Amino acid sequence: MQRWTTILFLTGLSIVLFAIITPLVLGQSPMLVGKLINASAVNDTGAANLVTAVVLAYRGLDTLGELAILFTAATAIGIILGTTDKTQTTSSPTAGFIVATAAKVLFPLLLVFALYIILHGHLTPGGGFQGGAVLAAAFFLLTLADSGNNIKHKVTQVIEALAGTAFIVLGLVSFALQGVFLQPWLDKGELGSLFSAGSLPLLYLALGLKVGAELANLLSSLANVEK
Amino acid sequence: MQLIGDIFFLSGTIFLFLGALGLIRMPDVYNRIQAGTKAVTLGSILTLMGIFFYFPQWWGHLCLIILFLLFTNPVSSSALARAFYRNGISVWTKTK
Amino acid sequence: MNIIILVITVSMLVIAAFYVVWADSFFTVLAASSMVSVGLVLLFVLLRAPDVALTEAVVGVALTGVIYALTLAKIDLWKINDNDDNNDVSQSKQ
Repeated sequence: MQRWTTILFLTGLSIVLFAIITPLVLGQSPMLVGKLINASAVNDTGAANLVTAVVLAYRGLDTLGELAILFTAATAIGIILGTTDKTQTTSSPTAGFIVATAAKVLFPLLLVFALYIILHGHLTPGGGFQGGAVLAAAFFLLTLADSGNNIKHKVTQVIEALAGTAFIVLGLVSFALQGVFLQPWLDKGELGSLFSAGSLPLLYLALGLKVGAELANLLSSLANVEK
Repeated sequence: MQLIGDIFFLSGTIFLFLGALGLIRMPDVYNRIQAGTKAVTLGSILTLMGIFFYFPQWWGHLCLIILFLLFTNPVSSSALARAFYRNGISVWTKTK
Repeated sequence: MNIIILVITVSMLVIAAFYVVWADSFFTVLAASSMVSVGLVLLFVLLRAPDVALTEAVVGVALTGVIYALTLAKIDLWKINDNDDNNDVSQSKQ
């Protein structure tokens, strides 16, 4: 019975997807807000990636709400699973020589890639959420290769708290300077260069560190098999 | 120039097709992993080399992608095969 | 041409989603749901949304699968079954 209701739901979903896609002309947005933002975002924020301008400048409060949602989820998982910082020697087998060596080689590359995604969030596609997820995956790769190699929960919690505070403090500084919470406030700089777009890269750095620390904490506390 | 690229594309897609065929036709997990890894890795590399003949200015990106493929694909499939072996999946021994 | 690729991608996605319902072990369910995410990534790239595609590639393909697998391992449902037709000569290690 449950299987049939699921299939019914999926059929409806596929019909809706086909109905959305069929009359769509690729590359032309049917919305008017997009045109407005396309016209004025570069002058307002100085970010070359307009998605970043929307996420952090126009809709900064929503991003703060997303951070709150992530924080709630991580807190709930911490309550359920508990934070065992003793790293009791798990009975799960090691992943073997090949995976351990590959993890050692891949870990710095993944770190560089994650920081690239975070720091170039105002220039190229990407940003804090994506880079933070890659960061968490990089740290989880080490845990996967050697299960004794767990991260310190205290360190990730401190990083998470500091990053969340930094996000709000950046918004409050903008409130003190300009009277609007979470408005871009530093010098806009030259369009397309690394040090541009005012305070948006700082916001993305805080966001990426917070997301990465939360996800790494979640994954490593899930990987602690207590048997 | 583009003809060489087309030849690379054709051979790459042939290898990718053989890999997909091996995934369906092979009798057990280990044979499937072997077909899926080797043929697909070679097919992807040949396809990327075909892209090089179309857009020669992308050689840096393509070299990086090929290196990454050569590094991660065998490692992940070896981890998969190891996990299957440790979980006691039996080996196909029938010969016809 | 583009609309053809789009329709093929969406049909792949829908077929993978149906297979999630019909599959018989959690291992295949996880693989098929990752396949749904791969289809979504292709869809987002075709619809010119590289940011969303990057998010879906990292979260949907990698992290969601890992979290599902770890949760299933915690509640003892993560077993790899030997449901091939070669059980008669099972000479696996004990």
